[in-house]
Amino acid sequence: MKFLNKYVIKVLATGFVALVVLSILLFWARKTCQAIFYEKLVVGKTAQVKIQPSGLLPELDNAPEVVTKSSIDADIDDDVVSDSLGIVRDDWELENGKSSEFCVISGDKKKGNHNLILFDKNLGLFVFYDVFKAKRGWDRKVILYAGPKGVSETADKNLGRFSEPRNNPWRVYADSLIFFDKSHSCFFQIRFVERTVDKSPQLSEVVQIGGIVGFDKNGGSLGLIWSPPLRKQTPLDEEDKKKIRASIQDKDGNKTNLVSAAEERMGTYSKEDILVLESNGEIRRLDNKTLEISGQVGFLPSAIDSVGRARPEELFAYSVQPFVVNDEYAGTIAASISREALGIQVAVFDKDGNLIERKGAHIDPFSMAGGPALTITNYLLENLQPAFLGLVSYFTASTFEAVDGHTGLFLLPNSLVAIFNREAKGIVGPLFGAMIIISPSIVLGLLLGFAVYKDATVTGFSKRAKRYWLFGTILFGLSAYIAYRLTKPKETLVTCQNCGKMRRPDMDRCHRCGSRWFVPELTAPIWRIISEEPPI
Amino acid sequence: MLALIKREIADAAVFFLITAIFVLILTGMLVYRVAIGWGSDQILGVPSTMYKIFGNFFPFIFLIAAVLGALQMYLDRDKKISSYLSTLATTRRQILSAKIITGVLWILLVILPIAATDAVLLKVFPMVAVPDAGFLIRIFVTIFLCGLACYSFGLLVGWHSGKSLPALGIILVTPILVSLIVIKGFGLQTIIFFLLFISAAIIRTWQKFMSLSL
Repeated sequence: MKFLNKYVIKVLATGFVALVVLSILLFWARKTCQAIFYEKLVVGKTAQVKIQPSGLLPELDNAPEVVTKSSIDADIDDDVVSDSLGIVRDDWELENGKSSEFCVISGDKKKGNHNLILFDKNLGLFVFYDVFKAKRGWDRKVILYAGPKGVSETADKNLGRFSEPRNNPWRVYADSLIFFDKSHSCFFQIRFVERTVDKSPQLSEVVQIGGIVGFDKNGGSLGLIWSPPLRKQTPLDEEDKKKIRASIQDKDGNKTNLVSAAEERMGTYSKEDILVLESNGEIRRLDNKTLEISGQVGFLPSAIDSVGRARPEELFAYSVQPFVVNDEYAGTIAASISREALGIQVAVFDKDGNLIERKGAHIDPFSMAGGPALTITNYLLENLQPAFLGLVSYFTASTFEAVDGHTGLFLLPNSLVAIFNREAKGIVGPLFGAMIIISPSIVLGLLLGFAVYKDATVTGFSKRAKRYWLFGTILFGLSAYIAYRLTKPKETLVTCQNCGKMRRPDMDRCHRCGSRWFVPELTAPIWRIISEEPPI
Repeated sequence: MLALIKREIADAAVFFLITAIFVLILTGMLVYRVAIGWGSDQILGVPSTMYKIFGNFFPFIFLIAAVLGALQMYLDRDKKISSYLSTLATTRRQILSAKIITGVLWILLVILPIAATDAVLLKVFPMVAVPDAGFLIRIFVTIFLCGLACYSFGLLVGWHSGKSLPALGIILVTPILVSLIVIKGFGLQTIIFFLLFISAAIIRTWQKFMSLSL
């Protein structure tokens, strides 16, 4: 316990408390700036991308009756601020459980009959259940077990084992379960009704399997809509009650309703083809029936430039949708939001994976009214963090998952200095630039450091301790300064008889002049000042 | 030691009594709402009642935890309890340990009955898709640690001569600490943050209590 009484422990404990409280406070201040920025300046105003014509229906778009060509609209939604918060990310899991571990695949809720597939961690098997309403809520009964080697009514060891699907994506399609097994590096398709297990050829790592409408990450932050080409409404359309999509007005104020020009079934959904995402950001197409996997049909567009591609962990949000005409796969639409949620990019691919069109938008805060003030405030708040952490943020800028970066407390992977690192090339030049960016926190650290050094001199710290405090405060800034103020010795100083400066009463020698307590009495001078008035 | 803990509990009897009644009502509400709501369409996950019951009350509970910590230290200093106890066969270490144990007991009094009720309810009304037990445990552990962090901070600022500064500190810092759950969620990171914070705050309180004149 004596160890705990050491001064260094006292300083570290106080410093950590100060650092945590300060970091959380600064986080909320930055988040407030961000919320105002997105809600007042960005959402519905900027960062909108429109691709028209979409390029997916060239023949139809060029038809003479088409008034408005097909289009793809993408924008940043206001969930962008809240989607990164831990409590929001946990909320879905709280409400629904971990999607990777169980799934209800069919049934009528009102009638109370369901089928449930659940992964049994101990057995390493998927279990197919009948679910029915019981006296107290719901009950279930095991029907089948499925492993890599087959389906059985009992949990037979011969069925083999699947790896735990904690991070393995799986998707249920009507009567079959499609699952990517990391340990086997391939897809498995389990058909419980037919009692078959099929295996695909080996693949590189798949990180996400799409559903009927594709797949996304932080879908609430990214709006992505495909709109069909439109033509004028005819009397026949009125009779058929065809849905009115929009209306136009001519110069005389006559209003004309527009309906979809597409006569065939088309849209961003697919029952036959499943889009899958690989860890390198490539999108492939998996045939739901044959488990055949196509070549690349698209990729996640990097949201910071107009040519690059991105890996899933580098993006704050993305949405990928298949485009289908009469149940035939016709192309892919992929949209992404950059790590810092300042850029949006949309890419359209044809059915062979060739890029048809790519468009993006980047938010420039300095081009909006109020934007510079919010950006500068945010920058200053970032610089109230310790300079040392700013420097570490610079070096670790790309190592964090994009969404995690938005909840950083100590390290700020989305700070200006981190963004600078991701965009810069070279070592020495960018490092110099980074030092300039974090210069306010360095200056603050220096000011506080010298204030602490000066105070430590008066308080009576040793030279070594003063040096530690100086460097510590330069590195850890405000939190180190608070720690110093809270931990410095609180002795009342007395005047030194030798030098006349304030000295510590608990020290043997004066820390300013080095004299002991005992100072030889001064001999009175032989000269005197006589206060008599001089004769006039 | 046991006598010291008893004395601390007796000192904070009002806290314990009111909390016990409050938790009893909360548990009753939980049982009623889960039992009524069971058999609904939800067959996956955990009924939101089980954890959202905390939502409305827990910010106050964390604040009370901090107030309890501060009050323990303030009253001790004000009434010179430790000065008196030190004249008996007790050490400062025992006195502070008794205070911390009392604080932990109070936090457990708030959390354990509800956690136990949740566990029992999940057994009585079993879920079809068994929820990840680790997830409920994670919630309760995070809430417990958050309560303990607030309590530790209360202890830290309570040993201060004034009244207004500790009060202001508690009012300002408790919401900041609780907001860590909003930022990081109920994950391992939050647990580590709270553990480090609790260690730092208790070490500092320990140092203060051991070295200052009583």
